[in-house]
Amino acid sequence: MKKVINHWLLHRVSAVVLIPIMLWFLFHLSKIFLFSYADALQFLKIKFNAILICILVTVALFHFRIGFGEILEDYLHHEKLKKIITTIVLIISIIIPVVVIVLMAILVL
Amino acid sequence: MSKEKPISPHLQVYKWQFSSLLSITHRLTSIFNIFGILFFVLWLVSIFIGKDCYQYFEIISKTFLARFLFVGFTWSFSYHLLNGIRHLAWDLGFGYEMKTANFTGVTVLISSFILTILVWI
Repeated sequence: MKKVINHWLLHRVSAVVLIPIMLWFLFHLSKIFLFSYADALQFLKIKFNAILICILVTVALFHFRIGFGEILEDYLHHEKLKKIITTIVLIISIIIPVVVIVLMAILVL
Repeated sequence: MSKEKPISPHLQVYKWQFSSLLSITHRLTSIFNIFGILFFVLWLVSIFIGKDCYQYFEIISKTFLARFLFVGFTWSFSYHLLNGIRHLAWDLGFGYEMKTANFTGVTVLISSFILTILVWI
């Protein structure tokens, strides 16, 4: 039961963290994907942007892992398949933030 | 575990209602959002690999389908963000009245489109 409550709370805490970061991200979205290569590099080399991107990707995937787990609980009733998907999502939610943090660190430093 | 375990949100038997539609949209946008984040990570990686790789990205980004997807991601992010705030208010014990819940629901839906427009103008 304690584990469930922790998940519930962590899901909410990550949601609150994501509110300001997503607002920041949203208002850059219209530029980000249309940047020239030089503009994109310049944008990523600003430390503030780099840190926010690292937090965004890490917390978003963490938030997704819990939320998606809830969806699986509700709709997927094949225990084995559920375990496999949960494990894949867990691995993705660790590997991707690590890759992003390493890339950003190399770009900024 | 018994095989007759009921499938919990009985989507097939419930009458479609505005509130349930918003709730399902919240879950659908969560999955769409993660594809948006993964696409963003691909963008990051392509920059890191170099200019040659990023060129492909630029070509793709200029297509109508890509632009449509970018706006779609914006709306999906906006909706999940705003409806998420609505959920947090519920968690704190606010907004359970039927009238209030319907009002906040409509507000979230309209605001998600307004936010999308604000981002792209």
